[in-house]
Amino acid sequence: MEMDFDTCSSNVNIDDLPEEILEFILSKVSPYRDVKSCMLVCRRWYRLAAGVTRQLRQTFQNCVYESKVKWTKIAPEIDIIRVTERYSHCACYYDKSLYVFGGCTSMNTTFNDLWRFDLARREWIRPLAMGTYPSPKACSSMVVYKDSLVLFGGWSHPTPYPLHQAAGFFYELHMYKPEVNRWYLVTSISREHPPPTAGHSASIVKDTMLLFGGSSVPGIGTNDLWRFDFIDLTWKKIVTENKRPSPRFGQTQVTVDDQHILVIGGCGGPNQIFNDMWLLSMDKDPWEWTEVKVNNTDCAAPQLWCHPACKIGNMITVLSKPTKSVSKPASQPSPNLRQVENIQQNRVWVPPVEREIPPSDRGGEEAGPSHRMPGPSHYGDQRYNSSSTESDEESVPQFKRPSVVENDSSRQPSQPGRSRLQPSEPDSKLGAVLNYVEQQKKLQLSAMESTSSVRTGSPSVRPNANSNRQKQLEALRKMEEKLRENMAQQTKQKQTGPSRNNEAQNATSSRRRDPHSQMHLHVLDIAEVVQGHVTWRPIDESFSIDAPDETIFYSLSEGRGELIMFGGIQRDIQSMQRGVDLKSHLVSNILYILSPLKTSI
Amino acid sequence: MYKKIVPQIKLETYEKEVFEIDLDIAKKFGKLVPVLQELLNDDKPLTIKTINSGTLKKIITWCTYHKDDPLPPEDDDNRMKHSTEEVSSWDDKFLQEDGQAALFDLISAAHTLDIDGLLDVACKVVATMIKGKAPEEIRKVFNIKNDFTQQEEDQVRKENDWCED
Repeated sequence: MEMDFDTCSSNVNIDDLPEEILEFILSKVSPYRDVKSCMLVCRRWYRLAAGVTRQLRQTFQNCVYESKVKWTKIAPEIDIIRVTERYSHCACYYDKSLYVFGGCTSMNTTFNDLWRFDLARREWIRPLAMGTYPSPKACSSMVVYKDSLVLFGGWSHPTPYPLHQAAGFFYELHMYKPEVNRWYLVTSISREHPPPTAGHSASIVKDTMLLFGGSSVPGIGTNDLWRFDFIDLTWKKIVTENKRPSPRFGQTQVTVDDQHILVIGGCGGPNQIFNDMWLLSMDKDPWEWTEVKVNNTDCAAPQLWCHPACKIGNMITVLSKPTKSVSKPASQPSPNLRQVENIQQNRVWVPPVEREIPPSDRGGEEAGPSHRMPGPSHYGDQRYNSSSTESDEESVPQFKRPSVVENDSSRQPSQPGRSRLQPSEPDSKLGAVLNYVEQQKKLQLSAMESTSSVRTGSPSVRPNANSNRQKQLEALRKMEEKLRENMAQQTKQKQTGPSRNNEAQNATSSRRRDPHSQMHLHVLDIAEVVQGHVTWRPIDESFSIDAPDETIFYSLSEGRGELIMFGGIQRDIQSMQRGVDLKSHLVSNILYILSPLKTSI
Repeated sequence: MYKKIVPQIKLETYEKEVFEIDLDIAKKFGKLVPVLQELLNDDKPLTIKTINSGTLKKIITWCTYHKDDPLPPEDDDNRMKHSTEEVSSWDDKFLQEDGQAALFDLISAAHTLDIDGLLDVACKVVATMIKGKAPEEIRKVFNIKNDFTQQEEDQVRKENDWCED
């Protein structure tokens, strides 16, 4: 018997390898550093490396669109200078690095240190910058303009002594230039400038920075719009048409194009959590705010004010635990086998079927009402109202908290762990069933869509490698068992132990953890935001080992073919209930990389 | 004499040397999966002219060492990720000990036989050789001729390699 193979065996040089293999190798080099070097090697390498880069971008966007990402955890090493745990810091991507500034701890500390995470080498570096340092602050904004990081506003913990001092708010504008490793304090030549502000949002539009909302007094938001012009270094307060978003802080703002910015969610004060979205059109005179219609709110991220979002292409990504409770994996009979069947029958990937749990089963999570952040975090009819006001609710959702007054003030129990959850109305059973049916339809639909969308970007490397493999292996396994039996009988020896297949399956199912409080990637499709509507994408509810539990006030930035989440504070309900003081452990200095999970189907 | 009770298949290499391979190992050869049943019943070896004995020996050693690794994912999940995951020191040494030409032979054979794990780790080893090197160094390591004109090279150097939005 002979088989015809099309490749020849003698490869002396890397250039003798088939193109697809060289491409495969190039797909494994760092997109931050080595791809450029590879492009400069020769014409062939240039062509292949450019292709790999395009593919990586496409794959990344496709996977984000499907919410199929893989989490990789990078904890700072202990023996070297390590970045301190923090939340409400600001971060941005610039030139193959993630820059992180400031933030605070849950104690009395606010930072003004600057850190750089080198994405090619995957390590933290602390550039000891020269120039005029900003004050320690959290809830600032930091955006990239040309070769500079632009830092504005923020807030700092009051100094512990003397007691009862007010928290500090800032209106300074600093620029950091990585090339010269220097901070500059920028003084505007205009008479007017924004008041000291924190929790605002900022983004760059052409040669200006637009600033919206924020607060100057703890817990009270504004809806002012400011523009800083980088050319003539002036601030200008922008007057828009009457209709505009309600005052808020803690929202996300992205630049859609040269004429539009989008403002998402935020918090308006005590029990006013916003899920609305507003588009600012700058091609009109005066500029005009319009509220955007949000579709498919079933899949929305539950809270859009302490979960910073990041724009990827035509999408907004937010990390949050899923709104809906996810099924208990144990109740599903051999999920792996079923997936295999699906693949064989349809060649369409269908997300694992999730079973709706009756409201009574959700107890564990919801039973700790005293430790939840306020807000409509639960499914309910009012969930998508632009605001929900509970008059008897005593907590104030503040992102800034003078921790000194924490113990003596019942008017401002603003610490996340102290706020009370409004008891939620349980879904009716019928509603749950209908919801489930709808959900299934959407999932199926999206699976089909995603298949077609991924195709275009699917790698050319051995696309058919897995086709029919499973079927053949299955048949083979049966035959092998027969053979083994025969042989065992012949030699009168008994075979012991389960087959390896089964073991592997057992291992997979036992590794599963309850994904209830785990962070998932929520994706908002904003391709048609200028036309006035946006759509939440179905989330992938499958469990990922490395994904952290619900964290807030993290930072989220786009790298090359990956998302980077850093820091934040965890609402660790269980340890709070046990009365264990894990405060310092709840604040994170861990960096997570979210990279494409599925590269081809 | 003790005789193993595992089913085996026979492969003949370029040098006409016949290898007996345990079925467990042979199952890792994706390309052979469709014909394994036939091979089990057939006593004649399967001839693979494009693979030499040295390479096949290495493949068998590698597959034997990694016999108990977890099964690869059912879909193409981790196929093309650019990963920073380290290659194990055993793999690194094993794949590099016979020099570049042998490594490329091995990669080519792993591709021919469709052995995912081996192809992946071997390509990672090559990617590691590229890591952190300047273009000139890469050319030197792999003995590649620079066919850019000066003008082209300058152009590529100027180009944005990612097109950040």
